Amino acid sequence: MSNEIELLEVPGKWDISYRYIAGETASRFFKELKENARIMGTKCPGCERILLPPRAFCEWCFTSIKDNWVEVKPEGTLEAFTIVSERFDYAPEPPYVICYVRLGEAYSTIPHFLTGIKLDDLEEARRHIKIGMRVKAVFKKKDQREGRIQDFRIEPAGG
Amino acid sequence: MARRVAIVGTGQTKYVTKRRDVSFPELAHEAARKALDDAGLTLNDVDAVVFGSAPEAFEGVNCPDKWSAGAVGALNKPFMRVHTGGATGGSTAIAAVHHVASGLFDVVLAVAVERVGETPDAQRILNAAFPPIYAKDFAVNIITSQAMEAVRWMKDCGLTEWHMAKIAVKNHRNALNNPYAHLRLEVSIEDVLNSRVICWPLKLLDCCPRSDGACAAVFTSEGRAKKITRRAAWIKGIGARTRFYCTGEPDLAKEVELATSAAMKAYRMAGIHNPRKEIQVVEPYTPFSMTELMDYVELGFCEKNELAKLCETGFGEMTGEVPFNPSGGVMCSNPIGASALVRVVEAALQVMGRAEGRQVENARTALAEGRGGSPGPGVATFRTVMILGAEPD
Repeated sequence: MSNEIELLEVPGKWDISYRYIAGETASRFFKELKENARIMGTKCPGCERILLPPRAFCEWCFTSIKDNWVEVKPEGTLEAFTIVSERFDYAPEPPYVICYVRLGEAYSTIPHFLTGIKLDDLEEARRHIKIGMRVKAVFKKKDQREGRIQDFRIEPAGG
Repeated sequence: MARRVAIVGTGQTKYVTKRRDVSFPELAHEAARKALDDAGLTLNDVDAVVFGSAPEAFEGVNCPDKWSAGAVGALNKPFMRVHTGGATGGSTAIAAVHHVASGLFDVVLAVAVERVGETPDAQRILNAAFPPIYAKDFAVNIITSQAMEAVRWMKDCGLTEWHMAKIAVKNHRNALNNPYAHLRLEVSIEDVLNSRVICWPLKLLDCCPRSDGACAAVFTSEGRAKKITRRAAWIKGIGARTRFYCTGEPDLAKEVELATSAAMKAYRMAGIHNPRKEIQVVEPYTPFSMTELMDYVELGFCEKNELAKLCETGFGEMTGEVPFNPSGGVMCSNPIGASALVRVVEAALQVMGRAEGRQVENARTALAEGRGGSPGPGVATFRTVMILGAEPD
């Protein structure tokens, strides 16, 4: 037999669908976004943190906090960002800005896209995005809201 | 520790984009075989096997542990798989240490393996590691979340892309001394700064590759170690900590404090009071250039306000005060689930005096780090630290 063999690659694919159970807490968060354009977090009476997105438990105090809802103001600060230039096939067409935003008095930050910044010149765009800058959450019209985090967008506050 | 534990043999496969000549278990077997041969042991000597492999979506085979158990020596023995994301290899080593230190096992084979080359969709898989309820919409993955951490550190410590590039150049150059390294590139600071931007500030040459590879180490009790070799690597301290990101710590200082506690635990166990003076070489888990700079602070080697200066004066160079990544590190080879065990093995080789072209002179005490997960909503990140020494005491 010849020593030269063709090294095979066997094709395969995972094509598996899921319906992820969001839980009561996340379900209520999304409902408030859709019905009332309100951003709701849960507050831990022990450490007094407001968690956004809301959770049913506090991992510091290890207690249930699922009944302690508080409204979070739709404005806050930019805590971190990056400008994505690379194409990822499950993501929007680049360039776009992903950021972490702290809204209202929430302890934690949420990921979101930062909109309202011109991105045709990335060097220039970077000069307009600063950690600590004020941002606001702007909701879609009610008939366009779906009960998803994208029911609002994040843009620089103050024009 | 209840009993002293040592590494008496190691094995690594050369890290490449795609090892087309071996199946996944065959790849793991290669490293396992090498480690046993290095220790002069046979399968009969092995009391238990600990197996590390991280996201199986990379291999696209559910339960790769079932597929690989026979390949890594587990026939008729107890077997355990460990998984902590990128820290998997570090946790695998810690689990092996626990097995031996407990007194229940004398010889434990730790094997970790990953192949990333069978799917083009690596970042999609990493995106899937962020919980589906709140995070998936945002194309958050390892590179974007590390880029966001980098932006914060740039602001807080006065670091620039130049500092990151200096680290990248160093690590790529170090890899030229490592026959196992995947990327072996002589690059300049200009090359790094001009490389393709992925997610600002991370450019292509600031980032790790995707590698196929496997790594193994034989952990034994003190009694057995002394019969096997005069040059063992002794486990002096271990520390592990988990952080849960309720989506980003707003206070960077608190973030550093949490990260440092794994290292502090290991230092206490090892009797180390001043890591900068008492550790001669570090194999950190740094898939991106900025991550190494973060580690100078997080592992307790300097304060944030000294960081830029330390980078500028070549602190972590081979000729610097404390060489970091003499092997080139994760930036040059990243078989994800194995990478943190590779750090342990590289640190072991250093204190055994067997690191050849990448040997740091007088390396008596080395640190190996594992890092798993990335800042993101509702996810944990794992940090492991292991201190290895040339002597049992």
